[in-house]
Amino acid sequence: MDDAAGKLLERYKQGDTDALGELVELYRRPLYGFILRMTEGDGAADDIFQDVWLRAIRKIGSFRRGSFLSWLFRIAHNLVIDRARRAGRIVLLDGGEDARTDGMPEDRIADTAPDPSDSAANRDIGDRIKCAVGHLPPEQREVFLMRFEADLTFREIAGIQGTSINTALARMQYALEKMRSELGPIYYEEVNDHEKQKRD
Amino acid sequence: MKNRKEIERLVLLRNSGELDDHKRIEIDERIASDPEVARLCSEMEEMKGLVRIKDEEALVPDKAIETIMHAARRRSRQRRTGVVGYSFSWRPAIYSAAAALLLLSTSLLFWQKLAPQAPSSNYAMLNLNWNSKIDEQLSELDQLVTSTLLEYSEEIDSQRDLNSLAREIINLEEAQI
Repeated sequence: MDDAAGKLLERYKQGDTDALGELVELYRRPLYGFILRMTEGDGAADDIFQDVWLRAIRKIGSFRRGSFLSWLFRIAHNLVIDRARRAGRIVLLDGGEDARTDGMPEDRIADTAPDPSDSAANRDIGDRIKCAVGHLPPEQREVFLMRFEADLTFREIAGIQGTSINTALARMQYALEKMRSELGPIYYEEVNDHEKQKRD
Repeated sequence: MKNRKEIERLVLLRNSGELDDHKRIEIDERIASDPEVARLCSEMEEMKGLVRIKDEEALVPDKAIETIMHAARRRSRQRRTGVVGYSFSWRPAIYSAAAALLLLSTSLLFWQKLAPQAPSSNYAMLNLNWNSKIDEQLSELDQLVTSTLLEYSEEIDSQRDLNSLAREIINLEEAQI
């Protein structure tokens, strides 16, 4: 756990409620970003974000060591799956290379992202990437977002998903592969231009 | 490092800080010398930057924040005042069970040793005396009844004999007449 979060958590445990407010703010972007992308089009991100914190507050005494953010993501992961299960969104996604997990609740999180080819010309790279992320199978999307959105390590991601590091890594590689093929060569031209601009 | 997949895997691990020093130095050298690996690495960094949600997108409604803070304040107050949900712990439960077991076995031992002198046993003895006295009286009564019955039956028998004797006399007298 990073120092800032550790100190805030300690302050909250000693009765300083404002410290929790700071903690919520500190992790708002990665956590909310992850939930938003996992529930794209569902409109449930606000509720899940709130529930993650309510559950965290209730269980904060049981948090001992390790990364607090990773702990929050574990709660978020469970809530996203619970929500998909309750909503009965039985949309079995293409298992692809990860067909071993077919039938798990994770696989039932619907793909709600718009088609990336829809008026692609009107969207910038960010929107197209967001769209492509929405098309990833949930378990790959989760690894991709946990890694890129929240900077969690593969060990932490594997712990949250209950898999091995190798599986988490493989899911990330499949996700990258799908992103590349979905975004196509135009994306790489733009990325290269972007990089060139940055260098200049 | 033979193929692209393997390189990509190592780049991913390097970026998440999970490579050991030896492997990290190896991949760093490769990034410095191989433009393809360098491109792969920068592509990932670029994608990471683009994927991340913008601050204006990550606006959580005030109501949700208020609910969180309200729960935090309530929980904090409960913790301070001690009015907090009981959290189960094994250690006190084991100690309590051991103490209860010890108490039970000690009581059992005392009861076994002191049982004859216990007031309840005196009461039982009293009961036993009463019972034996009643039994004696009952058997005496039984003997009395039996002997009385015998006497009566003897008397009846003798009465019966007298009756039959008297009848014979009457019969003889009638015959003489």
